[in-house]
Formats: sequence, structure tokens, C-alpha cells
Amino acid sequence: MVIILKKVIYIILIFGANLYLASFLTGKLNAKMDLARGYVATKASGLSYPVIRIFRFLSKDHKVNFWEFLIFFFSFAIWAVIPLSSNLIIVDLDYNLLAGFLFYVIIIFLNLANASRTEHNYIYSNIAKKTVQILAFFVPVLFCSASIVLVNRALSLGEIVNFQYQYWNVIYQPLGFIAVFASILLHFKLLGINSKNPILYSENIDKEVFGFGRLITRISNYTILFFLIVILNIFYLGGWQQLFFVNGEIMFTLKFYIVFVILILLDKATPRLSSYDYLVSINGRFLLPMSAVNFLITLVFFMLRNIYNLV
Amino acid sequence: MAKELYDGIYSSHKLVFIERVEKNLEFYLKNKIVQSKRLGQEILCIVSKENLQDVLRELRDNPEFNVQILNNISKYQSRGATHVLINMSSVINSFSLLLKIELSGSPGPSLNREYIEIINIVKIYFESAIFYKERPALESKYSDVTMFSPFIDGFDFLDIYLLTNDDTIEKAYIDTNIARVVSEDFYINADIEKLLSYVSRFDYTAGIFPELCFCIALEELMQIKVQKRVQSIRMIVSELFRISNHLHFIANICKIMGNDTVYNLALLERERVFRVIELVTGSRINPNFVRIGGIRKDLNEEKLKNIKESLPTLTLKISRIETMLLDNSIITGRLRNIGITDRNTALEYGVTGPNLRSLGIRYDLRKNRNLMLYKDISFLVPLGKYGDCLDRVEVRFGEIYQSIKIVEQIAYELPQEHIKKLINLSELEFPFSSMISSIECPHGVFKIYLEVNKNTISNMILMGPSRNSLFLAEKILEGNRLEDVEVVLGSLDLSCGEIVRF
Repeated sequence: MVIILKKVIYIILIFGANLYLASFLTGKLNAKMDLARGYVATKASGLSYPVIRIFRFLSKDHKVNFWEFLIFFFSFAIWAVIPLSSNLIIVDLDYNLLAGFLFYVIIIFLNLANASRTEHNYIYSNIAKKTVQILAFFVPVLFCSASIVLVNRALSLGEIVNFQYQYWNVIYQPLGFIAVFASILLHFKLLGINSKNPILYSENIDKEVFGFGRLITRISNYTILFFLIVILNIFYLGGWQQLFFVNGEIMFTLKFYIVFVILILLDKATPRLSSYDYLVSINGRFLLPMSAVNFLITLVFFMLRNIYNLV
Repeated sequence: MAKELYDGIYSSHKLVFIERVEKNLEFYLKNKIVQSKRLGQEILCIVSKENLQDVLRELRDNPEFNVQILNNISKYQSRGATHVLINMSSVINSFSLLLKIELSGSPGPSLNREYIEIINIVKIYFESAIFYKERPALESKYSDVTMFSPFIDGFDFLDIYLLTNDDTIEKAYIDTNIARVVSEDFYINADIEKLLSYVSRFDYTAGIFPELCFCIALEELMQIKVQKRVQSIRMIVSELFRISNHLHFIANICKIMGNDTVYNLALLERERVFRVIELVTGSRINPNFVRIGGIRKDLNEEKLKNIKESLPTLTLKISRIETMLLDNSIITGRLRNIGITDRNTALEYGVTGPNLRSLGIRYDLRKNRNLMLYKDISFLVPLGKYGDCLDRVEVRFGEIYQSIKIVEQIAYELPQEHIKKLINLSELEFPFSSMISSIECPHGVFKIYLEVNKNTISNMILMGPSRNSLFLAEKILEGNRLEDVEVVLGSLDLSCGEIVRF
């Protein structure tokens, strides 16, 4: 019991520290990009800015409703099934990959349910479209994870990491890596973590639920992103595998932040995507075919090797 | 021979054209017009209300006039009577005409009724006349989407009310009331000397142009011949302001589309232009540089060297910005086929400047009129083809290069003269007289109608081009998608200073 409590405290601390660091990094970059334009920029780049923002959210009077409570709960609960190191996991299932995906989908749908409280149909329809887009970008991730499962023959994330003791999966699955990375970048854009929400005027929902509710939606957005980066890390970049003499946990953190910083920079370097047609065409012409081809190739190899014993 | 050919292509000898138009006016509308006189490079006709419809029909349908553009309608009071000014121009015959109608009613509701009658007459020939009277606003119960100014990227002076069907806009209403400032008080019956420094705020993205227009009007009134060196320096500064305005436009478009890299690069280049402007004029936004018959300060060798040195860097950097922006398929895909309008609509709504040129209509006062020394300088007028947002951006990039070319030509061949002080402002005294002058500012044709009495301005009517672009925006938005509202508005380059005035 004490061990579990210790683990819970560790996970909450790690999650909180990551939230702080991630919001600090995005704020810093935004401030740098905004040139030196008065106090807003200097304020946003300070070390205490993420903390001050939390106080700003809390200063508004807001009644937490049922949906927001659930979002808050699941944003933390997802880390119970996702391992952050070889033994930092509370519920160690043999199929925790599926459990993680389930939690991810639940958080997204809860956000949609939370948005349905709005009086404006337009805002709701926009958020619904955004949700559909996010789920559409999740399909390539599913294809790629299926290929990873075929390669590693495991549904447990810990085993997938253990399989990569010699070579990282990115060597076997370069196409899958690109597809998942692109998908995460588009998630990043759609969630609007780095800048204004790309879907026009859907930030009005944020205005409506200003206060603690907005903080919760923000945390859920970060959770989705962290989850996807951790998945990418575990799938393709070796997770907490030790590299020569460098500690596995340190490698995991390093890789996490390298991916995160590259995502921020790419997000800033590319324009905001606000056309649904364009998003659909990216998914239809690039991500889905690539991940599907990758899956088919993997399947053929799997069959040749394991069923017909040819390779 | 070559010169005649050149004049044939570029109708720069305006006086010949205006004389022809005057003769035609006398021939066709002799009985209908009370009086017609030439004010500077434009014509002012005094018309009675009863004959207005016949005059408008003749002006619109007769190929000798072929008036297509309704620039502006405004109401003003002068010497105890109320007048209505209708400003129209023709692209094909390249002239501009003002109709002045005196309202006979006593102040109050009857006067308003009379004004609305006039608007209704103009509406028969020009659809856009409805914008000059008070329109019923789209109330919140009829509009399902309202975009308030803090949430519109790139604009802070307008609220937009939209009636939508799913994603498509069916009707749009743009409200600029939040930016309305009572600015008439400070220039009616103000001293000319004091007013000079105020005028530039009517266009804060390109502050030199209202000043220039104001001074040109008074110079025309006094028949002053301005020195060549003065004209050249004025042209240098105004072209630098044109570049700065277009860079602001590009930065604005990038901000709307969330392209932060190009946004910052464009602002940095604007900073470079601003530094040159600051060096020459001593100020960035409100230059207060032009004087009647002259300029405030001459250029010395050091400043000239600085201008020359900054030009190649500017060309290089801007071409890089253009490559970064227009080689990006996300950007071009977003701009292409959005906000399209046809030529006739644009002309009817009175749009001028790059917005009109993006439709392939070649109408630039720098070529069409005898404006400063532009006829001695070789430059092209960039034209678009389809009139969508992409064309508007491309035309502006083209104009930046042409402006750099103009500045380069003038800077290397600046006439060596000693600038003389031609007039003493404190000793000026005019009889009551009126004057019109117009100039090609970065948004379009900027026009000022002045009434001067003794040492003061008794009336001043500013006709900015952004207002017409705003009318067109309402028209264009219908049929577009909700996501494109900001892009369409951004591509029209609206300047708040001109709109606030009305």
C-alpha cells in the first residue's frame, strides 16, 4: 500500500513538473517569437508565469460540473496504466496499450460532452468537428500500433520497450514513425497548445468556461499530448532502454523533451491549419495510406516469418 | 515621336483629357448642369436635385463619360446651407467628377428626407449607394454568429454580424461604430498651419499621404510651382511609406494565418524601412514632413547614402519573404479561390488601388494623372488576374518591388537645387474658395475636398479608399466560409484611420 501511494505521489509530481515545464517552454518560445513587444512578452517568458496563470484561472468564480470533474479525473487516471519507467506503473496490465487508447478516447469524448453545455450551436458544432478531426488523426496511430504489436508480439508497453534492447523499432518501422510523428504534430495544432485554437472561434468555449474549468481543459489537452509523445517514445525510440552508460530514465526524459521541442518549433514554423478540407486531405492523401502500407508490409513479413517460416 | 507614343499609352497629360470631358459636359448636359468648373485636376459640377437623375443617366450610359465608379457620397454644411457631394470617376476616360447638390429644406427631418431621396436616385445607377445612409443593422436575433473586435485577428475596429447556413455565410454586416471618433471639431475652422500636423493621423499605416494630398490641394489653389528636388524627396518618402504599409499588410495576413515566422520577418523589414523614414522625416507614424510648396527638411549626402545602402538589402529580404510565403502550399491553398469578386462589382463599390488592380484593371493615379514627377520615372503597375486573396497579396509584393525601383531611380538622380521657402504661412489669406486633390495612397485613391476661408479651413471632406473596400468586404463575404472571414478582410487592407472619420 505504501509503495502504491509512493508511486502515485511520484507520478503526480512528474506530471505536474512536466506540465510546468511544457507551459514554460511554450510561453518562452511565444515570447521570443513575439519580439520585444511590451510587458506581455516579458511576462510570458518568466519562470513564474505558468504558476501565475494558474492563480489567474483560480481567481475566477467557477462551479466545476460533472463533466469537468470526469475530465480532471481521467487526465490523471490515464497515467495509472501508462508506464513512465520500468517500474513506475500502478496497474501493470498485459494489455495496457489498449487501456491507454481507451482512456485517450474517453478524455476526448468527455471534452465533447463538456462543450455541449454551451448555448451556441455554432461553438458546439465546431468542437464536434474538431473532435472528429482529432479522432481521424488517431486512426494512423492505431494502424502503426498494430504494426508495432505484430513486430514485437506484445500488447504490454513494458514488453515493447524490453524488445528494443538491441535496436530501436524506428529502424524496423521508419514509415510508421513518420506517420505517428506527423499525427502528433497535427494533434498539437488542433489542440491549440502553442497558440490560438486553429478552429475559428472555438476558443469562445474557453471564454465561457473561464476559471478552473479552463485550467482543466488545458490540463486534458496537455495530457493527450504527453500520452502521444510517451507512446511515440515507447514504440519507436526505445523508451527507458539504457544507452551505453546513460541511465534509462534520463534517456526517456531527454527523448521526451527533444520530441516536445521539435514539435513546438515545427508548429511555429508552419502556418495555422484552419481549413477542414486541408486537414482531411492531409489525412487522406498522406497519413492514412502511409500507415496502411506500413501495416500491410509488416503483416506480410509477419505471415512469411511466423506462419510460412520463409524469412 | 516616342514621347507622343508614351503619352498615348500612359495618359499622363491629364489636362487634355479634362478639357475634352469639360467640352463634352457642356455639349451633352448644357441645360442640366447649373455650373461646372475645374478644380485642380478634377471637375466640380453644381446640379439641381431635379436634374440629378438625368445627369447620372447620361454620365453612366454615355460612352464619352462612361462613369463606373461611385467613390463617395457625403453631406456637409457650408455658409448656412447643406450640400451633398457625390464623387464619381471613370476608369476608361480616366477622369474624376464631383456633383454638388444643394439641399433646400430647413434643418431637421426634412433635410434628412431630402438626403435619402438623393441616395435613392443614385441607387438606381449605383448599387453601393445604400451604404451612405443609415442601414438597419443585422440584429442579434437575425444573425447567428457575432464576431466581436477583440476576437478578430488583425482588426480591432469592427464587429461582424453574420447570418450563416452551416458553414456558409448568407449575409454579413460590418459595424464600425465602436471606432467612431468625433474628429470634425478639431479641423473645422482650424488654422491651416496647425492642421498640417494633424492630417497624417487619418491614415496611420501610411501617414505621409493625407499630408501630401492636403498640401497639393493648397498648392493647386495658389498655383505654386514646386521645385523638382522637393517633388523628388516627397516621392522618396511616399514610396517608402508605401513599402512600409505593404509590409504591414503582409505581416497582418501572416498573423491571421498563424504563420509566425514570416510575420516576424515582415515586421523586421518594416522596421528597416521605418528607420530610413525616421532618418529622413524624424518620425515614424505621423511624419509631419510635407509643407505647402516644400518640405520640412532637405536631404543631405549622409541620409541619401543611407537610403541607397538600405535598398539592395530590402530587395533581397523581401524576395526571401515572398518565397517563404508564396512557395508554401498551405498558404497559397488557403488564399486561392477565396474572396473572389468580379470587375463590375468592384467598380460599382468604388474600390481603387491594389484591390482593383488585382482584378486586372489598370487604374493607378501615378500613371493616369500628372502626379508629381511620376511621369519621368520608369515603373510598372503590377496587375492580378482573378481577384482572389492570393492575387491581392501578389499585387502588393509587386508594388513593393516597383516602389524600391522608383526610390532607387530618384535617389541616384536627385536634382541638385537649393530649396527655397516659397510662402509664409502666417501671412496667408485666401478668399473663400474650394479645391479637390487626390493621390494614389497604398490603399487606393485618397481624396480631399477643401473649403478655405482666409487663414482657416472652413470644411474638409476626406474620401478614403478603405471605406469602399469595407463595403466590398460585406459583399464578398456572402457565399464564403466562416473560416475565411479574417483572411478576406485582411486581404483588402483596411486602414482604420480612414474609416473612423465617417
